[in-house]
Amino acid sequence: MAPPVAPATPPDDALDGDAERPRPRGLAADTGQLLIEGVRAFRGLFDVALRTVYWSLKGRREKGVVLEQAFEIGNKSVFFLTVTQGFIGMILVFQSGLQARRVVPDLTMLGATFLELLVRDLAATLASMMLATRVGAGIAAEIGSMVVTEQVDALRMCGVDPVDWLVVPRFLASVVMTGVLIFYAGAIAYFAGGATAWAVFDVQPQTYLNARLLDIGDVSIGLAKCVAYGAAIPIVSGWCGLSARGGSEGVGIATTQAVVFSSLAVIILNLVISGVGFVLFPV
Amino acid sequence: MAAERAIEVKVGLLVLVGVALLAALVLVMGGIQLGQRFAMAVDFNNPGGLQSGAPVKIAGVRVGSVDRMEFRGAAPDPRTGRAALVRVHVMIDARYRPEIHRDAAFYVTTQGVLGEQFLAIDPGSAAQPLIDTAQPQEGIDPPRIDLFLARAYSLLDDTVTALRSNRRQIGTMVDDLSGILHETHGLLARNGSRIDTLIENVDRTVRDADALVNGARERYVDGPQIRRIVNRAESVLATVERDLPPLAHDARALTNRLNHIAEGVTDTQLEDLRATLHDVRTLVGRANSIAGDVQAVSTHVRSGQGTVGALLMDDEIYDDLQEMVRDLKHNPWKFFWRE
Amino acid sequence: MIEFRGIMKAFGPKQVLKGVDLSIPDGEVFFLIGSSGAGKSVLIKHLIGLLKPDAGQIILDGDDVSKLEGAALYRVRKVCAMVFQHATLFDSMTCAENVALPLRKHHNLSARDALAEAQKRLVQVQMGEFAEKYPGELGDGMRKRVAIARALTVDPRYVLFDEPTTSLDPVSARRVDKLIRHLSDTLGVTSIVVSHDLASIFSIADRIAMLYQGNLRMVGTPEEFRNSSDGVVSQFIHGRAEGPMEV
Repeated sequence: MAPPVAPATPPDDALDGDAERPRPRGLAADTGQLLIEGVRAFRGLFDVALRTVYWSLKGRREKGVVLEQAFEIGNKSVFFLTVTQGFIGMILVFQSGLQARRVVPDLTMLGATFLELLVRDLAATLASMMLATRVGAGIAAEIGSMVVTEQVDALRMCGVDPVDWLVVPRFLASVVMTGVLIFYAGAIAYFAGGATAWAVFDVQPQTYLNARLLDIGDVSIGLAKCVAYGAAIPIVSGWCGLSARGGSEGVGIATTQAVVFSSLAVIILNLVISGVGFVLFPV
Repeated sequence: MAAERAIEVKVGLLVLVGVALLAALVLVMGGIQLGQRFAMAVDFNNPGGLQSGAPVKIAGVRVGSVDRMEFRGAAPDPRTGRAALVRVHVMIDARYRPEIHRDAAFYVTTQGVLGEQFLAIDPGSAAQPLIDTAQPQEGIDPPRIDLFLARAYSLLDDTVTALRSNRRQIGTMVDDLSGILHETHGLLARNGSRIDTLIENVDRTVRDADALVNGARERYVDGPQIRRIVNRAESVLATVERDLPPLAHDARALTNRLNHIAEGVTDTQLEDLRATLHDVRTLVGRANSIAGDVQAVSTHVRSGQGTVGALLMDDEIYDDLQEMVRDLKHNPWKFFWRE
Repeated sequence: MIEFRGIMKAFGPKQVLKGVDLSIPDGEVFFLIGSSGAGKSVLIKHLIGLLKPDAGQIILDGDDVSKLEGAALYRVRKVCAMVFQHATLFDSMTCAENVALPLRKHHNLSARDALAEAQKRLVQVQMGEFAEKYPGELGDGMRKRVAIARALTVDPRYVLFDEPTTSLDPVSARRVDKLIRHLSDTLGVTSIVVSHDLASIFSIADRIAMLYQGNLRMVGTPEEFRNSSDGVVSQFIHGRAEGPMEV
């Protein structure tokens, strides 16, 4: 089901079969079933992803919907992220400082290495894993409950592609707001770490605030991760929501799946981008 | 709606904050350049872990940063005549330009034990003129801790292997040493009193020798006679020292001149000289005979013999002459006629 | 003309439809009845491509809907509209906006024109004065009527009703029945109604088909059903608790 080449109307997204698992029939059969379902699920995810991108570029946006979602995803996560990232920054600096001191009691490069680590990887990854729980669950719950109350079928009937109507605004909002939140969260973690370094290890702020180890490669990799995670979370959660079946229990399952798969997606993307990053921009 | 407006504002604010943070990061990364900077180049064979963006410091104060590292390969630079693998281009604040002199040293060092590496400049002495910033300078390569560790490790390894392979000999050696010590101890224990006596004698001998030496010193070293002799010898030596060089110098000059003369004298000249010498001899012989004759005449004259002698030696004649002369003086007309 | 040929559908191990053959001529109010979970909703969802059969064909005006993909399927949805069981209006939009949505998407009308047209449609279902209200503010019956208005915006020739009166009070239920009948009589719409509301069945149905255990048990007029000698049919039609039906 690839996006159409010429026609103005969008492609379809017919569902086939629900998620009721069959009775176990032996290891080989089970593995085969698992594999088939896995491939089918992955194709479904790929389909959702493709159509999200297609509709982002092609469709018309309802007034204010993206902004609304941006508020939901962005502003409503600020407090949550401030607290979590602040604590994470403090813990990371504290623990790594203790460990570093075992090797050599010189913490002059603590600030610089922590900053490079944050920019290159941790700010994006940790903040996104926090966001995957909050944002991912929210998206899956909203979309899932619409599915089980047949509102998504109604959308299809009205000539609307549910991906266009439901996933794309969240996708656009997430790509932007996740990046913004990551910058913010990274700053919080860094300064919280700085306060910890000062209080516990007597590392002076002038020593700690050191951007010497940063280069354009680190920033590029960090930004790539921001965009990738911002794109992945709504697509994965949206797909989980759209696959919900069977009432409120189905919605609950979809929500849990969304959190798990979004976090997994973040980690896998992290691996891929970091790998490419090490080749293109060595540390 | 008002709610929509409020949402727009909040979202916009958050986005602005995020973008501002990103911009701040990029700015801090790039380094805030204030003021003029000038460029210099320093050549190294191995600048260690120096990276572009690393600080450049004079006496611990940051004055600039490393702009870029240029790998030049082993080909020598025609300008400097050196072949250095890496040329480090640095940018330094303009106000530090007059601080760097021609004998400045450039080296790579580490901040702390495991800190980042930076380029340190020892500015050189104020007496020297300022450095030529257009000319690439020669830098001092940092010590390679990794190489050092590798060598130290191999040394350690060899030592341990040697020790291990000679373990038996070392064991035997230790045993022998132990035995020797044991024996020595026994020996000392057995001959304790004898050793005491021995030590006493030695002590006495030493004391006597000491007294002897003192006496000798008094008589022969510190004695006034000796001192005088020594002083005189010293003054003689001093005189010799003083006069000898000019004397020697003159003698040398004389010798040189003589040599010169001798060189200048050819064989014919030598013959002439011999002939001249012969003539001189004959002349001298004649002069001698003349002198003998003269002496004879003068003897004659002195004894009043002969006319000249009589004239000279006779007083009467002298008086008469005197009178005559006086008269002539008064009466010069007497020359012309007689009275 | 709608035709189901040998439709088989399973959800996991559960075989819901075991080979259903059915044809529905145009212009009728056709009732599809059976006990809960018999597969009625499943069957009609196949008509607009919300489900695909494991086997069989669905012929709608000569096209096999089961084979259609993409843009073609959207054309089917313009021809065949559906009113869902729980009204399923979009809570974040007003009634007028709800009704206007298909107009904007299927007919590409501008927002303003669509709203104007929606207003007219709401008047048709006697919901004109509730245009600016949100679905959450309305009662079930009113929501159902708005949903019907929404389904009708595309001027479909077939309208599917999934248990339209199930959660309604008797008065609202009768009103909905009247509307369905009205549609058929005045607009020539073929209405396919999935229901087990006996009052509706006997008041507006032209013909009835009964699904039982994945197969069609009987197709006929309400009279034929009432007088049927089949024990299962009889038990259902007369609403008896005991009988041969397996639940």
